[in-house]
Amino acid sequence: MNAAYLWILFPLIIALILLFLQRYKVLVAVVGTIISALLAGLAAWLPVQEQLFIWRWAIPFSDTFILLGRRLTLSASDRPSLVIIYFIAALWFGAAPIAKSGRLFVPFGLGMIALLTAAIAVEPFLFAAVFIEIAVLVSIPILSPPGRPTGRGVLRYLSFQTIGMPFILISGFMLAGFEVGPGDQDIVVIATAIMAIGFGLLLAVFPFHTWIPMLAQESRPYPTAFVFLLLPGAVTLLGLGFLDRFVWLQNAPNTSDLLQGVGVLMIVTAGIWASVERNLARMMGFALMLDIGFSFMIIGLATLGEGGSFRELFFASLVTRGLSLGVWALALSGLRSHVNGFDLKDLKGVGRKYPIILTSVIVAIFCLAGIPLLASFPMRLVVIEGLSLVAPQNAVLAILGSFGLLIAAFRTLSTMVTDTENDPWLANESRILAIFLMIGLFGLLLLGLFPNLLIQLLTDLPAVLGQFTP
Amino acid sequence: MIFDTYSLPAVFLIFITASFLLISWDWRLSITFISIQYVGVFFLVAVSWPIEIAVVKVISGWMAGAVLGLAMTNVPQDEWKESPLIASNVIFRILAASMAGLFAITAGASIVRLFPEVSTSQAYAGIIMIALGLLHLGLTTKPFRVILGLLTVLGGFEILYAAVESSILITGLLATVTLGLAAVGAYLLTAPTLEETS
Repeated sequence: MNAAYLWILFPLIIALILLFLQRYKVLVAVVGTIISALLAGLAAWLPVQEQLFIWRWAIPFSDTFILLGRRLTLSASDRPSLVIIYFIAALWFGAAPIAKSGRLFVPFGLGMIALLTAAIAVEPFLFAAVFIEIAVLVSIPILSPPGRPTGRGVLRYLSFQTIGMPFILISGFMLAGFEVGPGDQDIVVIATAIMAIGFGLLLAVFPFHTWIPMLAQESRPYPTAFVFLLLPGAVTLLGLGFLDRFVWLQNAPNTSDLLQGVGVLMIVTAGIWASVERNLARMMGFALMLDIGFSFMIIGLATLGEGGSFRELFFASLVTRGLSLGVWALALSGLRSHVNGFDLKDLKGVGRKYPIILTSVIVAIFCLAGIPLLASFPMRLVVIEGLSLVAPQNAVLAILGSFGLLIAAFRTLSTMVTDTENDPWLANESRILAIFLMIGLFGLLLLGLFPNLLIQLLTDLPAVLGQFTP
Repeated sequence: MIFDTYSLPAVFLIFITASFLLISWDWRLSITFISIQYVGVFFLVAVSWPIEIAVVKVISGWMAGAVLGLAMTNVPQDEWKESPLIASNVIFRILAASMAGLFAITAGASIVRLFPEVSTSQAYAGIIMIALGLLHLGLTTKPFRVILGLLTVLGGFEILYAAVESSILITGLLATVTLGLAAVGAYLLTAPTLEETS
């Protein structure tokens, strides 16, 4: 038995089987959910030892799998990451039938999860970029389902992600070379610039951000949000791998400034565009950009000193992003069959007919904007406090960017409750959708009211926090 | 090394095929050109790698071409038939390709300085493919053409990366990406004609 068989090969095989069973949508979703939950449970409870004892049998268990001369290692330190990834997958797959996310969502989604697990496992970590690219390729059928014309957003997403991968590989090679024979500082500058372009392409940093709103508008909200959650998360983890691997890069004086600068740029541009955006799905894309910007800020602050605590915040922000995006996307999916589109003009008065959907969308936007009592607020507060000590101007700009998203929320709220046909307030959502949305809203409130729940959980999973020490 | 001898002709082969890819309007011609292009990639990768591993590049490239070609035969031709480019467009594209070639000559030396493992021919070919691939991507929004552009960019990167990294795993993964791109291209070409799923 091998860890890679369990968390990479097995879900890949299941994904393949589910692909053939795609006709049975509910069955596929149930199997995908159960398998993901099972793998999350195994990651949490399977003892980390060389032999597994099942009744009378002792089965040898290795955490390393050799693939074409390189190692895929899922050691004890990776277990918490596996728990989080597969747990999130189970939650998303569980709600897939309600979200009408398409027959291909669960099989290809599970395939993506397995490939991103391989990206975590591969050594050297640099090769993770190629696994992430393969995951991008696997995500295409989710984003552009059969029977629909291919959108420009999908093509742009594919192009940017594919072009980004070589930049990461080349910069990693250059930085490794510099480590062996330091001397030529020009190489570091060029390598850093190449790396910045690579991550800029992969993480939709301005001016490479255009695919995010385009994709959000063209594709179904739920699968798109799933991809929005997974890929930037995996790419940011790859970026953290760079900082872990090249400690001198982490300690370089300009690294924090660069990360904070990129973060501010993303937050401000996303905030401005969100404030004037007229499409609710595109708004979700800008909200994601804003959240990625805050992730850059957190990592930038982490490089300054208190690496451990800020890294906890980074992982906590991934969880809250997942929950907010999930609620937002599920709400939009519930609305999809009742409206002509997600342009605000199509949503006039819709909130009166679907108040739970309205509440979910608004609370999700509020959460991503960092409003108090909601899940993102404690993290945002710490980031703003940290920034105000080292770069107050960045703190002000980050708050202004968040205000942009807040304006978007108020515009949406105003449009959706506008009374056009003297409609009475009536909850028309299906019961199951309402239950799922209420659970999501409860989660957002719970994490906002008791942020220690999440932080404590992450603190108790020290391996998630890696070796990134101040 | 025999492949060193053929590396400069391979650069010309790559430049010509990548330029023709820019101006060809018939998908059959385009697939023929990209298949020939992968022969050039093979010769340049073989400068750094053993022939039995370098051949992976040409096989994956040809398979990618075959996958795209099969997909195109299943697409309603009225939908994807492209009309020949007008003369001014052809001239513009040829000029742009020539400029990319000149850029490759000037930037090639810098690449060799940065990566001493990369030979001059590899640097020229890599930059030509990346530049012309990006140009191709910038001039189209059609899935078939986007995939050709991405394959060209990726081919250029593979030439450069082969000189600095010889891992078999990365060879296999990049071949998977090449085939995956072709498969995604085939899917995007045929998906609009498939039955809608809900």
